[in-house]
Amino acid sequence: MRHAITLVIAITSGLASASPVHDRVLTVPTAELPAAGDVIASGALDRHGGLDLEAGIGLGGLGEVELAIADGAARDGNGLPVERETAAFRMGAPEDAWFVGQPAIVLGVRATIGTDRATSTYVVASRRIAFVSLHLGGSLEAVVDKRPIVVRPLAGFELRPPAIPKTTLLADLSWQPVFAARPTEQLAFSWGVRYQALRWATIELAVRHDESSFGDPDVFVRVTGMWATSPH
Amino acid sequence: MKKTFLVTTIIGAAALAHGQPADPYKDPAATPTPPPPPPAEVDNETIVGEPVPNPTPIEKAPAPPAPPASKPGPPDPKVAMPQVWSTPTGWLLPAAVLYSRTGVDTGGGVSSDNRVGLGDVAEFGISSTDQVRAHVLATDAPKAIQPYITATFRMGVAEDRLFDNQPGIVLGFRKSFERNVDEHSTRLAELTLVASKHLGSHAAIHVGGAFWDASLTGSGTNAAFHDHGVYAVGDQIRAFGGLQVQPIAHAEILVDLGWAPEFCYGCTGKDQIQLRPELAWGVRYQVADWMALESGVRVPDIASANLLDAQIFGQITFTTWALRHLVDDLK
Repeated sequence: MRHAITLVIAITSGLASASPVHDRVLTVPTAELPAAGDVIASGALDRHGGLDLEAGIGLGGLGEVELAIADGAARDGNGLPVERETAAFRMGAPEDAWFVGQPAIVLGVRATIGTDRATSTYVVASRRIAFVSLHLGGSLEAVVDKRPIVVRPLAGFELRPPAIPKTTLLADLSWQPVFAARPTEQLAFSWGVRYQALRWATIELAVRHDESSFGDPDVFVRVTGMWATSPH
Repeated sequence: MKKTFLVTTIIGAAALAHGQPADPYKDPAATPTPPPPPPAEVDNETIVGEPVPNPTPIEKAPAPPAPPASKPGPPDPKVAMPQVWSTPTGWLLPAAVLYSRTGVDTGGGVSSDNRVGLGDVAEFGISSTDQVRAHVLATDAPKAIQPYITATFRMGVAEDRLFDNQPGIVLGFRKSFERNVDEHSTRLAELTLVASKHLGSHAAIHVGGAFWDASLTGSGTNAAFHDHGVYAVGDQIRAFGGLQVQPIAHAEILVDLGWAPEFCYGCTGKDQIQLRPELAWGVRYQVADWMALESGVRVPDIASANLLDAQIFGQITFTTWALRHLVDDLK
C-alpha cells in the first residue's frame, strides 16, 4: 500500500493530464496504445482483498511497456489468487494507419518476472464502429516448462451509449493461467461498467466469472489514470 | 523486494521521462526569443527646458563596445546508434561522442554498454552483457552468466564516405574477460563485419557476419571453438542482421536476429559450446536528442520456440556531445 501511494504521488506530481487510452477491456488487451510519453497507472481491488497495480508508459506512439503486480488474474490449484509480477511490451499501429478501415493492431508479450513462469504472446485488433468497439485476437499461452503452447482466442466488446457518453459497458472473454500441479488456463468471462469520472481518470466496476467457479464470481473495482509527459 | 524493485523502476522511468532539464542541444532557431525592443523615438518637441539650438536629434554618447556575443553553433546532428538490440550496426559514434546504455529484463538480467567515438573512424567500449548463458546438463534450462564483461573496438567508414550509396561498414572485435562461475571458466571473442544502409529517411537495414570463438574449461572440461578436431570452421561463422523503421517522428521499430554463446558444463563434443539464435524486437522512443527509452521482447533461443524464455526488456540510452565540445574548445 505504501508503494502504491508513493507511485501515485510520484506520477501525479507536476504532470499534465491526458485522456485515458484503455489498453484492455477488463482482462483482454485492446489494440489501443498510449501516446508518446503518456503514463497510465491503474489500481484494482477485488472482493478477496487482492490488489492489482499496473503502470505503463507509451513509447513514441508505437509501443508501450508495462509493469504489473497482480494477484487477481492467475490462480493456484485451489482457485486462490497467485501473486505474480509481470512485464509487458506491446507495439502496433493505430486505426487507419495503413489503409482506411484498418483496425488498430497490436502485437504484445506479457511475461512473468521470476518464478511461476508464464508467457502470453498475443495479437489483437480493435475497431470502433459508431458507439461500439470490438476487440478480437488470439494468444499463444505458455505456462511453465514442458507443457505445449496452446492457442487461445481473445474477444472484447465495448458499448458507449450516446445518451450517456461518460459510461461504457464492457464485456470480454479471456484465458487466465492456473498454476496447479498440472498447469493450465481457464476461461474467464468478465463484464462491467466504466465511468469517465475525470477527463484523465476512469473508474470501473466489474464482475469476473472463472470457469472453475462460474457461480461464485469475483467482483473488482479498478481506477485508471493517465498523464501526459511527452516533451514533444 | 520484487515489489520495491518494480515500484522503483516505474518511478525512475517516469521521473526520467519527465523531469529532465531543458535540452541543451535543441535547435536555437526553433526556440522563440523575444523580439528586441523597438528603438526609442526621440521627439525634439517633447524636450522641455533649455531652448533647442539644434533641431537635429540629440546624439547620445556612443556606448562602449559590447563584448562579442558567443554565437550558438549549429545543433548537434543526431547520433546513429551503434547497436540495434543485440547486434552491432555499421554506424560509428562521431568523434568524442559518449554513449551509455543500461537495461534490465524480466529474466533478471542487467546490462550496460558504454562507448566513446574515436575520430569518426573508430569507437571503443566496455560492456556487461547478460546474453551469455550456461547450464549443467543439456536438459536444464540455461541461465545467464552475469555480469559478463566485454571490451569492444570497432573501426570503419561512414555511409557515403567513399562513394555515393556506400553503406556504412564497420569491422568490430569484442572480447570478454575470463569469467569463473560454477567451477568453470569461460571466455568469448567475436569478430564482426557489418554494413548498414539507410533506405530513404525513415528506414535502415543492417547485414553482417560474425566469426566467433569461445572456450570452456574446468572440472575435466576443456573445449574451445577453435579446436577444429571437434568444431568445424563453419560452426564459428554466423550471419546476423537488423531492420529499423521510423514510421513517426521520435519513434522507431527495430528488429534484429543475432547469436549468443551457450555453455553446457556436463555435455560432451559439440554440445559444450553452442551458438543460439536470438530474435529481438521493440521500440526506441527518442525522448530528447540525448536520451532514448527503449523496450521490447527478446527470445534468447528462437530456434527452440520456447516462449517461456522470452524476456521483456527496458533500456535507457544516453548520448552526449559534451566531450566533443570540450575537445573543440581546447583546440
